[in-house]
Amino acid sequence: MAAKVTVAIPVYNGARYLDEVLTAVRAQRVDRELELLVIDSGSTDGSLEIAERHGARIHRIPKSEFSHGGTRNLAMQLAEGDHVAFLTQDSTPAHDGWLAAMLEGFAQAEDVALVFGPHDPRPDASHMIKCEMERHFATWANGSGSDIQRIEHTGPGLRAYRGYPGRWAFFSDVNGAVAKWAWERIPYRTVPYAEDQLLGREMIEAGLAKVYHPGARVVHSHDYPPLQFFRRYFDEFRSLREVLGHVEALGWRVTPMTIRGLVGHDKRWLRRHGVRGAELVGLLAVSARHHFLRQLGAIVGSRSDRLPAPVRKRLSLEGRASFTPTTVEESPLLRCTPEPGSKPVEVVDNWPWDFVRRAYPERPIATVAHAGSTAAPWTVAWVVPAWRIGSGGHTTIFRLVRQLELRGHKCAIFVFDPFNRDPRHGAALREEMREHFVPVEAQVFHGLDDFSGADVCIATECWTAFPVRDLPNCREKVYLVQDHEEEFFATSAESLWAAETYRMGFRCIAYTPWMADLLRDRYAQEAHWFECGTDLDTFGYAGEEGRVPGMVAVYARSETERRAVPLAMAGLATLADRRPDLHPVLFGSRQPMRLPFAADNLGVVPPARLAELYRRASAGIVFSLTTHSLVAHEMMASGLPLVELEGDNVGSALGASGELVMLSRRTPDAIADALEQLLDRREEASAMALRARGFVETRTWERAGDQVEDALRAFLANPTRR
Amino acid sequence: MPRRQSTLGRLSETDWKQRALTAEAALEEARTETARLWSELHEHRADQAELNYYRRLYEDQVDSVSWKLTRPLREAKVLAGKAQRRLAARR
Repeated sequence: MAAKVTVAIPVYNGARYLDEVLTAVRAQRVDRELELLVIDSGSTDGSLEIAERHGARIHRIPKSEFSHGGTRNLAMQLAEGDHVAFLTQDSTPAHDGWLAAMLEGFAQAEDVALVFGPHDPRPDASHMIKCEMERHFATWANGSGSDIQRIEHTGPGLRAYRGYPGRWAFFSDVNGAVAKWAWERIPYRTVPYAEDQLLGREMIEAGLAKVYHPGARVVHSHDYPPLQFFRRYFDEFRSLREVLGHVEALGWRVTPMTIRGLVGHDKRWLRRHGVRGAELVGLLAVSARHHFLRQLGAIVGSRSDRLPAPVRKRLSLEGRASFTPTTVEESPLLRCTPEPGSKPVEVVDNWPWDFVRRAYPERPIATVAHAGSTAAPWTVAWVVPAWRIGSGGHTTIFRLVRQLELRGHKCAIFVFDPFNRDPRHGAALREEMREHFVPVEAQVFHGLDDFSGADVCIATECWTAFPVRDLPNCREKVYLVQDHEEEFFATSAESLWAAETYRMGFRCIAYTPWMADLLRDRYAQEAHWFECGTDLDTFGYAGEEGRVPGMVAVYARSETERRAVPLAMAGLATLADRRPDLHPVLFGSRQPMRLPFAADNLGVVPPARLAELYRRASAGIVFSLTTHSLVAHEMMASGLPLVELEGDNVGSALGASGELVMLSRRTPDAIADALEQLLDRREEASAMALRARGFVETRTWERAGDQVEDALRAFLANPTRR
Repeated sequence: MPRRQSTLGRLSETDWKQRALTAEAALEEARTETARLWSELHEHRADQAELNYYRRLYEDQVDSVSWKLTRPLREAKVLAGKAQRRLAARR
């Protein structure tokens, strides 16, 4: 025979069901010696005789000494069993395997401290009670199968607990069992009420496990006439307020919605049980009355501290007049405001920078071994950031996608959007991309959930490099570096992380030889390069005729700091002082401008409108502090002479000053001088613009496509892993 | 005997080249087919993602308070339509 098991029942005038309960306990089939313990607090209705008849061990206490927590602690002390199953005097085990199911729950793991089971309503219970019980116990394991609950003391584990603490902490000693070893560590709180909830919470927070076992069923429910229900809920919620500080929500919206929700549950339950028509309407009217009174009882009960004692006594079903708050320590895991005057920080599941955090500790780029075959067609997955219409970087990416498609390769585009800038689904994004950028064939996916592998996977922006590094089933991982993104940010976490992506070990394809050199020299990365093409159909060449003297097209995208817009404005202000006929036309920004000189602002406009501006203006300004802008190419294609800032980033691509563009020192007066030279020396300017057009004509998208395809072929021929 | 060996060697070499060419052709075919299937798989997944999106949208819609509140209006509209059709049929 194994160790003993105890069934403990606190009793006070419980003769109505006690015989039934004890008969069912005695009928239990378990392979342990069963001890039946009754703690009586002064019954006068024959309960003791019934208990004696069933051979219970009876312990008597005065009624004044009874408290739900204290009396159960006493039962635990007196019990000889290793496990103590608690029942109340009106909860009857539903079958002879009830206790065995409880013990089976403890056997599920060594750290199981508590086991509890469902309550079946008594046959005469109302539909509201039946529905409520069914719904309540469906919380665990969907109502079928046993469910082991244990809090993981990790970020996600604690978030799950805080999101729905009741699911984890619920325990009921109407039908629940406690392991003695666990109780010795964490006893019941000596509170007048909700002792089981506190025990469940403290044990689960201490890292112990709790099991719901559907086989450990009891028959138990309370039914009262409507007004008595109100009084019962008054008592229950007064106690919840006293012990746990719970105050039931009250409001013009929340209260009716709560009642409506509860009636709705009853309605669905009744329909599931085949109730229809007039009968349904009648029963729902009963439901509405019940839930109204229940809610009223909860609201008044949880605010009973505001009522005079005689009123409390009158409303209480127990006839208790007192209101005695109990000090219970706040749960350390559920505590919301640990510091006076502070507010809790909102806890979210989708912190935007989580993708960076998860990228550490550093690990090598994930690729699969391959033999170095370059046989086409290839499958190419592009991971791109969310876009806005007009984004030049995306235009370049999609043009390259199209170029690979035209060479027979298969592409797919995955939009990586940790900042949730665009919640649309892939099909909507694809439609926009095809309409406003380039009509590619590739499918578009929002997020990386549908990614399963490719011959080559390409990161196209610094944040995309983090997930691309770890994506599975790719022969090669490539980083398309259009700009030195570290410089996009002030000294910050972002600038650190952006720089980090250049050290991850990707095989790079850079926009411009300058960027490729930078990747090689500063970051020691393998780098090929490509040069962008220009849309020569849209940006057609125009000569001197039709150009408006003094009109200057100015790329004023102030949202992008690397375009040095204030520097351009300073140069224009200097020139405006010298030339009253200066007519700057700004474009490229959605932000309003306030300037010390007269100018027009076109804002963000389609390429065709820009082409028109480039054909009418006499000079253009485009500044680039990192890789040079494609806007410069478009102006050059349109025959518009332009001023750029000097520096290796521009000079390495566009040659010496005056060859294709005017390169200015980075000072306002030098910019004004360079621009003035373009406006005054029209013949020289036109000749330079013609050379620039010839230069741009050689930079086609076909050439860019060839350069990217050649780079990918070189990577595939020389595998990262063989 | 040496002559015989030489003939066999030539035959073997020709055979090897032929087999290599056949294998290369098969590999190319397999690659094309793989890429086609990859593309088809992504089309299917994109369709599925779109379907799931609209399904969620539909569920959110019919689960919204406004949809539930306006349900009597929709039901009334259906009933009015039925009544109109019946009246029209009688005339």
